[in-house]
Amino acid sequence: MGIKKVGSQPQTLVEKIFFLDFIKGLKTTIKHLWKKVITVDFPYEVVVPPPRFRGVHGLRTVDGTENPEFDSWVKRLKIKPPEIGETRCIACKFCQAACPVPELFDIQSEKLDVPEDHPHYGLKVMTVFTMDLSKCTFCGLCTQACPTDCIIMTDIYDLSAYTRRNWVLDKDMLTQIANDFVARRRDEKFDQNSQWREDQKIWPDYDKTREKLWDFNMPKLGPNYIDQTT
Amino acid sequence: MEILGTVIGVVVKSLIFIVGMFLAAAYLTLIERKFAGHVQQRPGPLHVGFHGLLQPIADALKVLTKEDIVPANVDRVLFYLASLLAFVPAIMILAVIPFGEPFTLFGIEIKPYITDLNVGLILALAFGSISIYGVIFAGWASNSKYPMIGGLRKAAVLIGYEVALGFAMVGPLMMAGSFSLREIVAAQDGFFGAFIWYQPIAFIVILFAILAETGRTPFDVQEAEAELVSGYNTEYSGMKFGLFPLAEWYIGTFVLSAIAVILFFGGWKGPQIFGFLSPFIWFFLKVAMMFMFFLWVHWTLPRYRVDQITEIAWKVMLPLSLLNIFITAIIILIKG
Repeated sequence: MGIKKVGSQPQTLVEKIFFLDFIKGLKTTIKHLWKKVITVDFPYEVVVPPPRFRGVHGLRTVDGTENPEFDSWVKRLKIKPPEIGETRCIACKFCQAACPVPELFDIQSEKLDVPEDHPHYGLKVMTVFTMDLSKCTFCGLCTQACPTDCIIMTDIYDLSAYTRRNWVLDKDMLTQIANDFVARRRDEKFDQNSQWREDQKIWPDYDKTREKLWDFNMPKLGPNYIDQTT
Repeated sequence: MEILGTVIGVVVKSLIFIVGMFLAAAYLTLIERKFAGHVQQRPGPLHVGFHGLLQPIADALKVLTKEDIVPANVDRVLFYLASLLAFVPAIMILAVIPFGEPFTLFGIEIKPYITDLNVGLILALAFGSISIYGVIFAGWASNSKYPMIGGLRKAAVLIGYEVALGFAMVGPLMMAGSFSLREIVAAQDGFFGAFIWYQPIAFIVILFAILAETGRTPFDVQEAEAELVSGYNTEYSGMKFGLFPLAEWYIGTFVLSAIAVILFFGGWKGPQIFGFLSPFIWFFLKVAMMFMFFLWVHWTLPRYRVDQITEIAWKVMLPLSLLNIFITAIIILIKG
């Protein structure tokens, strides 16, 4: 095999005598000297993440934009039909099932303590929803598993805390985070049915940059890209 | 009485020079950090004062109040001596650098230089070489592998570039006919009298030598951060550490820039457009441009290996400087 030499040609005599490579480098740095600073002065300036960003979780409340299956899910799991402003969570624990670290969730539901003739007799309500974010990997699988689009990921990334207890978010905190996020950026992320907007989906038909990244010659995703041999 | 006046004058001038150099060096650090930042498209110091204007003061307070750790197995005498030996000769070069011609202000004749020796340039060279001992002593005294390698590398590089530097300075000296820095400036008349037009080869060799002597990037083998932790000053802390970069990167570069300006760019000469201050303004403008050029090179180029530096010094720069002496001598012989 031997050593394979990569890179440019050996220097010519003119290049050696007049330090042309040095001058090229100096030209580059002086060009960058006048360019705009690209760093962010973090505690004073904050980057607004894109809508797809996977930050701290939130629990959405009912606001009339649920997906069509929401009522059937509520009936199936015998949850008290939520009113506007109450949480969408139906305590199905799909998020916990989808999570790679399931012990970070603590979800409990209780039967309502009402007399037999009350319309809500025998129905349940979610009482505890606790997430230990110090164990979370922010993979986003819980948001995809959620049948009611209740658990979402917001654009908050500042997770620093003084104690571990501060990473354990309870129901009220998560609801508040989601309400804040929805008030700020609902239209960027969600459509009328609380789904991801079409242009926000990671999907070849909508992702204009992906084709460009593949030089307008996308692989068909065969095994080991064998179809790319041409 | 006259002697007393001279002594007081020299002491006052020395104090002004030393204090001024300290303040200048402090703000040269800011200039360097700002320049390095913007070359890499980041802002540099930003929050202490307006755009970091008070940062040097904060840094000085920090470095002066830091705990000064001396490792257990160091050679104590050399360890303490090294940082001073790097710093003091670097600032002593100022003794022979003239900042302008004597002028009269309020009836007193003021000489903007401490001494005008007829061996000024040789003295500057000697002090510059002594300050390198600081680096080598620091490497030896630290009793640790990285400083040791750094010091040895500096010693290896030193042998190469000092020879080339000495020979390259001969060209301008032959044209000026004097070792006195004032007379060298006096020998350069007008825009086309500057020695840069007659001695371009010597100028390139001296640029190389100054970069190597001050340990700036293409030749900063003695403190190669990527290979040796911080090179010769790894074991140092507190102000003993602070003196090394101050001496090498700032005072050394500034003073050697001043010498290069005196040798090649006509020192303080220039159009008299700023009144009686114009010599100073021209001189500091030229020195600042020289200094910025070194910063520019520093923050652009990657590092050479030690063997490559010695190779360039012995095989390229030394023959070039000898050739320069030869050509200069022939031209002087023909022109008379």
